[in-house]
Amino acid sequence: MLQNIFFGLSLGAVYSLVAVGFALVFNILKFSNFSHGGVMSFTAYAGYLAYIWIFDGRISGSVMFLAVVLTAAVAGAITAVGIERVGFRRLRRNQAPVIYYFISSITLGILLENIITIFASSNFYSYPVFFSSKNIEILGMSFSVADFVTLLFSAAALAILLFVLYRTKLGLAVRTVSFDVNTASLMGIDADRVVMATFAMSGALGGISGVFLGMNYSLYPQLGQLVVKGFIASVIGGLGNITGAVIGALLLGIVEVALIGMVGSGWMPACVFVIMLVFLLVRPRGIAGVIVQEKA
Amino acid sequence: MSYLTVQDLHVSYGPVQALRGVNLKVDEGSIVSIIGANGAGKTTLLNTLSGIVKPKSGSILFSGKPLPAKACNIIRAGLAHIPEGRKIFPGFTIEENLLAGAYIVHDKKLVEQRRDAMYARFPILAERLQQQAGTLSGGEQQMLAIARGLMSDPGLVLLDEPSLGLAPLVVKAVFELIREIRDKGGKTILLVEQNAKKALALCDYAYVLENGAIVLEGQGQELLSNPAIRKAYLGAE
Repeated sequence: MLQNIFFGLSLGAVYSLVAVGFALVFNILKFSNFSHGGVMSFTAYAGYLAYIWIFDGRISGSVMFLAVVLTAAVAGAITAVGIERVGFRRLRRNQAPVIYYFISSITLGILLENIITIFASSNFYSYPVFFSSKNIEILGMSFSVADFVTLLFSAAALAILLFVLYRTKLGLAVRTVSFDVNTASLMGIDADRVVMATFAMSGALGGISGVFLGMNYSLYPQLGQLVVKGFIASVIGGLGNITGAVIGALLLGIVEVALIGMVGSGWMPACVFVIMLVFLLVRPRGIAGVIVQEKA
Repeated sequence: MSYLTVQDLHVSYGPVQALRGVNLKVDEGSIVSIIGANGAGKTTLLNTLSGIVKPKSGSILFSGKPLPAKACNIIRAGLAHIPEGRKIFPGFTIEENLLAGAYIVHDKKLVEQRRDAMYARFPILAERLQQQAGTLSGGEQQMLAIARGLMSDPGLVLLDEPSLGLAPLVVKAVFELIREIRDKGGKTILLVEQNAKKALALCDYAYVLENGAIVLEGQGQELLSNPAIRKAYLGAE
């Protein structure tokens, strides 16, 4: 039981990285950025390539793991910034309706997937085993080291992100722009730069989650479609709400593990989507959705 | 040489002409108001000055120099815009709202000094500094918007409809505050108002905007007694 909860939390931790990366962009441009999936696929491969081309034979174990994650995070940040330039900046200049952003993001996600398929074909690759001892024993129960590291690492990444958002000037600028671009520029905040920085942060999180997903499953071009998990978590938690996204993701992880035990892995995804639908219909603002009403 | 000089300013939204050849001058240390009906182009004029709306033609000189092209650099030139509808950040605390207003100030000590000065002037804000700004009353939000606008210590303050939707007693307090910002703070103020009576009584000089053009200008007191103004804007027979 405890083991299952722990496994669910670790799964949820990866989902929370996805969901937060997703929520960051939603927060600022108010659309669901499905190109995030493409970034995740891309960075998972980037981390893998860095492993076979550069790091293999030079370093190993947890140092290797750190190097791969860091490479993927940087690759993700660069890719996401590129995506913003190509896919969204022109739309922002023209003050295009939100639906254009949405379609552009889906297009870019599929485009990235297809480019990866050309180079990697549809073969499956897998990451090396970074951590030799597979289990640790606590109170007679065994926990997988990989799960432990996933949980720790995700928590650290989120802590850094929250620090940046709530304790730095950049964070203040991001939150200001997410409220209103024009008012932000009256305060002297350059919205273009802030949007770029937000995509970079979102991409870095996407990179880290890409590696974790690659470790959990295996590498295939459609890996990024797991962005749907982040989307579900965001809806449950409240779209655009960072804390909500984390809570939603952890819940999703635990619920998924529990559902596998109850109805089997075949029915699990269907049940999850039903839960999401219920949320959309009954409580569209999500769990954490406390919307502050602006007084006239 | 005036502090702010606007010459032959034209602005269009697509085919719709919002401003057609506006000329105006604001002297340093004065309060100038622009009155006019809804849709006359008052807000467009302020938005053009602060770079949110781009002019089609015409020139804007501030302290004898053209303003920066990017909207986010206008405040760095010393021009702060307190927008219509206050536009405070509702999910931020009061403190964070003030800090956002001082975004361009890099000296942390200076920011703290100014913040403390605002708290001293607006004790109601100091009492609630960790409260979300969206929970404040309309009048308190207007005070916060003005305080936020002053955090960058601008030379010229653009104020858009500060009395909008406020109770008469609060409106009185807001207008007293505007006078104080000029008298004690030494700021120059360009005020856009629908409340023509109060605006004309307060200002040194005023312009009347109709359909995107200045139709009348003069000293505040002078316009207050002008029969045409009394009829159109002050509700007199």
